[in-house]
Amino acid sequence: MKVQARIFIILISLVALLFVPRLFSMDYYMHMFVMSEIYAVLALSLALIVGFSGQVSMGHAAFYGIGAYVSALLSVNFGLSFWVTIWIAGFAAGLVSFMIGVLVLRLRGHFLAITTAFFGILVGLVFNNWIGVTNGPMGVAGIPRPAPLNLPGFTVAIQTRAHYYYLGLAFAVMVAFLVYRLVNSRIGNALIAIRENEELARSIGINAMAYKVLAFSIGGGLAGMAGSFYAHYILFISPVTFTVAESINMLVMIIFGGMSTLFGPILGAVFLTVLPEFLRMAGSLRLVIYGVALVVFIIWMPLGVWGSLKSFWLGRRQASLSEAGESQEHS
Amino acid sequence: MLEARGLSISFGGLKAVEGVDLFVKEGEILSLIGPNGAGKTTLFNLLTGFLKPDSGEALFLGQPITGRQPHEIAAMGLVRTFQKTNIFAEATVKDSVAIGFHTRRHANIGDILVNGPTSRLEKRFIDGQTREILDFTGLLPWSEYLGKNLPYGKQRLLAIALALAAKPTLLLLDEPATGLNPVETKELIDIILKIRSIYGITVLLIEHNMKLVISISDRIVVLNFGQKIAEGRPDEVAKNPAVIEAYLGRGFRNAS
Repeated sequence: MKVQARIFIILISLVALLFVPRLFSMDYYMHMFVMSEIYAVLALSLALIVGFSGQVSMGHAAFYGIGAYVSALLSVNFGLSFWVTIWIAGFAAGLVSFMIGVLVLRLRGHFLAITTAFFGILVGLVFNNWIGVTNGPMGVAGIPRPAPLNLPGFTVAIQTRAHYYYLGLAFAVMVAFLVYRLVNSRIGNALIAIRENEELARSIGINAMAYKVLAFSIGGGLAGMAGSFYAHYILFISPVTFTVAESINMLVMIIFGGMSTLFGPILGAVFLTVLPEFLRMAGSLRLVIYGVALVVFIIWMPLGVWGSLKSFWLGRRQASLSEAGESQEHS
Repeated sequence: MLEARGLSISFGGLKAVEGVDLFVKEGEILSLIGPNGAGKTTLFNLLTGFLKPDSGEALFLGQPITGRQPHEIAAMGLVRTFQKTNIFAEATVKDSVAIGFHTRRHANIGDILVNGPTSRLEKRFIDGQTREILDFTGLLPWSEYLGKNLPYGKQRLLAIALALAAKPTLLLLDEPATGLNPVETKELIDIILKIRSIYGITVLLIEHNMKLVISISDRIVVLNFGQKIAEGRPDEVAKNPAVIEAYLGRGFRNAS
């Protein structure tokens, strides 16, 4: 019953999301929504690393960038289709995160955060200075749009923002589903065990290093695919998009929404993409309000908006349980 | 079952464990005792892969385990608990114990993505087994509690329940009775005896509570300053002059 109710709510929300382009026809809004979808994928992939396995990465934008560059360069130089390059981008970013993961995941806490941040800076330097390949600060222009999608019976060209919106929605829903299945599997159990208590996890037979690397690789690979989508949406990429500031932006999204939940990162991604735009009404106070709002949320909702709501509900359940438990103990 | 020969490790100039031989026979309850700092927990860490010995080797079920990773040794059936209370604080008791089944889950990635037959079978198996272990350790009424919200004594039991879920054939308990009141200690003795009689698990435990040690051990090994100073049945060990000296000092023996 509870599960059915949940599935029902999710289906209703998805149907509602299908109508968004009809309600907001302005390009400006649609752009915000497409970016929200990209950030939802990035936030989910980062939540897998930070929220579920407890390894703080400050270099996530590097994998986003690697995916974007791999996909863009393969399309521009070799004429490969987006439908092929998105997979290569995901694989390449996943492979790099695997190699970096093996090296850095033996570090913990602040050391890991700093090291991944430096990795992010390093990748940014490569984008900027390997001019022969990346075109340096000039960026890569002229990235082709995705080829028309041949669905059984009809063909859809990916032209308007609404097309990208539906494509991004499908992408984000698939990633959310993937992460949902992963965190509810033996893999997710192992990751949570490592986050909660790595020593104890190892003592009951969990190969902590292998699972941390696995989460890091999958997270990096998904970020790479998001980068590919971004490149073929904006049609121009340059190093300024893939900075450590962008990594921190993604971290803020998952902290805001609640990083150990599935819906939290999505909520954080959408809200923190849309909010700064709405705050434009406040003029020069925009960033001040944004900053204050973040500080307030993080102080009063340390588990994130969604995480705090969940724990509030669970806490009430715990309270009623504790009465029940004690009466059972004494009887 | 477990056979260690000449295990040694030193930290800087301190010889924490020095040339210790240890044999654990299948089906016995063996206690490891000794004054604080004698090297008991260090020996546990050496046996379970958390530390690598400088010299010596250990065999478990005929397989060498020195130099292996903790998770590999645990998967072989040698599972330990910790001296400090080590639990998954933010997970419910039920979920914690379910995590303990890790080494017995093998659903592949395809099966995980579609929630296929293996995943569903695993879930049913784990639900049933978790319930059984919680019932066995008396934690069933607490199954929906977060680990951190349990009373201390129950947290100690949760650590044992978690270790049991990992399906040990040899269970290493590091001071399981620390901080327990007399009633809880009696419950614990009962549980340790049942771990052997019902699950057929061999138990090696470190404990300072002598009443507990004497009442359940088949054999006792005594460590002092990293070396084994005595070994034998409880009554033999209790009378051993070297043991009395280690615990009470030389003067006591002269005075008596």
